[in-house]
Amino acid sequence: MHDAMHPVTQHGPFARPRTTSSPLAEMADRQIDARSRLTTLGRDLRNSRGVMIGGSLFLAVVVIAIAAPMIARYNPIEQDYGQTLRPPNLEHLMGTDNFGRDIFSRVVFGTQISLRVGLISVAIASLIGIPLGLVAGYYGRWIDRVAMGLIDIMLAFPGILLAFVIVAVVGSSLVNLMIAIGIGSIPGFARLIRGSVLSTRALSYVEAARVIGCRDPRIVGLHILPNIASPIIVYSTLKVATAILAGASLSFLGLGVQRPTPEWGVMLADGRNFLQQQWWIAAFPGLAIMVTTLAINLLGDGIRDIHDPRLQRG
Amino acid sequence: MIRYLRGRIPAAILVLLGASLLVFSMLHFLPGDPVLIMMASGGGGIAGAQGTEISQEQYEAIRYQLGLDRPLYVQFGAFVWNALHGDLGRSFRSNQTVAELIANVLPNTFRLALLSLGISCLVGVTLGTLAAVRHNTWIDSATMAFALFGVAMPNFWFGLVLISVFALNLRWLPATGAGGWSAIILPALALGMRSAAVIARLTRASLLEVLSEGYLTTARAKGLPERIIVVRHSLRNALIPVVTIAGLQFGDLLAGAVVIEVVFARPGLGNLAVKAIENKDFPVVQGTVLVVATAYVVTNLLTDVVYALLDPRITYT
Repeated sequence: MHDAMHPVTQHGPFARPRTTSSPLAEMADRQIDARSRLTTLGRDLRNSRGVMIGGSLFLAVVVIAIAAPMIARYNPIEQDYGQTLRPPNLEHLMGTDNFGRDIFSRVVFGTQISLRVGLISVAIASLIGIPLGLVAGYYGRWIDRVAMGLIDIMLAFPGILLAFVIVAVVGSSLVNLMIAIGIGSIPGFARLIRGSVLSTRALSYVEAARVIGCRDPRIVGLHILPNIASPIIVYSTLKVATAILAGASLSFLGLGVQRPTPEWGVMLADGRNFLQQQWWIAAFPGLAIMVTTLAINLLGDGIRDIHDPRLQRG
Repeated sequence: MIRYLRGRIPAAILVLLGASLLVFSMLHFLPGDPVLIMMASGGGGIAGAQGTEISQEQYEAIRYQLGLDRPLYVQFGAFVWNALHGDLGRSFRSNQTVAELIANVLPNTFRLALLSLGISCLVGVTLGTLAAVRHNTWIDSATMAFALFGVAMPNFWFGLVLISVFALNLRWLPATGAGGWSAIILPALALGMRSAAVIARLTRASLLEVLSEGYLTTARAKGLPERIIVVRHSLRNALIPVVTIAGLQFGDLLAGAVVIEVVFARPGLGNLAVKAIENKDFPVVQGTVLVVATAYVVTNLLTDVVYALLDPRITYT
């Protein structure tokens, strides 16, 4: 509670009475400390416009994904040849496509697919990338050189190219798409974690943990990882948006989710042939991708600004 | 600098060797026998036995022709050696060499990526500078909003919007094809939008940082006009990190061209690669991926060199 700026005088004529004399009181103090830190974090999060707007939008997207069967009025893959190419109306809020499928229902169910692609591929990337970065950064030497050599090789394939190559080999399906994007995102995670570990490894508390005989897994897991958590959280959040965009791009190319699954990229590809007259077929899935990635980017940027006060100047 | 290059160039060569190993492994990671995949995908290029049953002798002959009977390290050595000599194999589908197929479309893709980079630098640096100079005004807010949307908008969707507005409705520019300069404008805009947003954000942040430096207070104190302060004294320093990002963006633009070329039905590396994947024509996939990776690694190397030349404080040991 009392930092170096406000020392508590313990001795001499100006000595104050000790406020924390028992272990119980110390515990209470620690709880108050933790609570005040949480309160500050909560206030920062609430005060950040990006976090509030992005967070609310993202929450809405998640709710739509979970409640899709309740929100959608039609079966997203059921064809109705009596209702083809209808413009948006009260019956079909976003119109229908050339198979008479309700675009609104397809966009709503598409939310589930896109969130799955975003979250699962980032989970795959972080499950491999984080340990790889931790080990490389902590142990250094040849382990670092080998790991970073591999990462550099993977980084030679820009953008979605690595995922593109993997899909080319394993074939296109939803699961393969998530694996491909996940593997393609490993280098970014590993590099970020390695860099953070390198700057944390030499700090005195890590040194101290080593001196008192802590084992490496304990040091890495308990002392280093929690202290580099904020860049990991920010990066993972932003990566979900990138993964959703990559998933939609690959599906648009026919290398991801296959028809008739209501995936936004696939829907955009279907709408290509109807741009002039039936604009709604391509417009709404595109908007859905944009709103979702915008929400996640706003959220990620907002969290980063809170954790890095230097950025708040701009 | 020479010492730096002496370390950096072998590292880039090692990365390229690793990348070619990954590309080479593609054919061997495929579920199934490469010969059978080749036969199923057409196979005309080598055996001329499209879709027909083949005898054991024919099978062995194709394996021999493709060099698949040799040990893997020999095959990889041959792959690298041939690639260095411009031989990327033959297409499974047609009798053409992969190098020939790539050479036909490579200029299209490079032209598109370069023009996109030019557009994104021009738009990004201009908007970023305006936003920083007019910090906390509506110009700043509008630029940041543009940057947010630019990063979130899928480029293939933006491409479709551009086609819909400028090609189909206003009929100002062609929607598809590769003919002339008019056909490249829409794809270049669609492809460059995201990079422009990234560059605008970075220019703004970087310029804001530089504008608060002490030496600019001195420049102002001695009465220099604001224009000179921004252009001559601030922008030069602020653009150093922008150069790095612009260099890295070039690789992303090359990869992004894959999607944009399909949207605009433009002949290029992207269209070639996507069609090759559809046809399971793996030598073509390998060739296109290797070319893009090589271009990316070389661009990164050049970016690092330019970075070192621009900023005398940077020393590489």
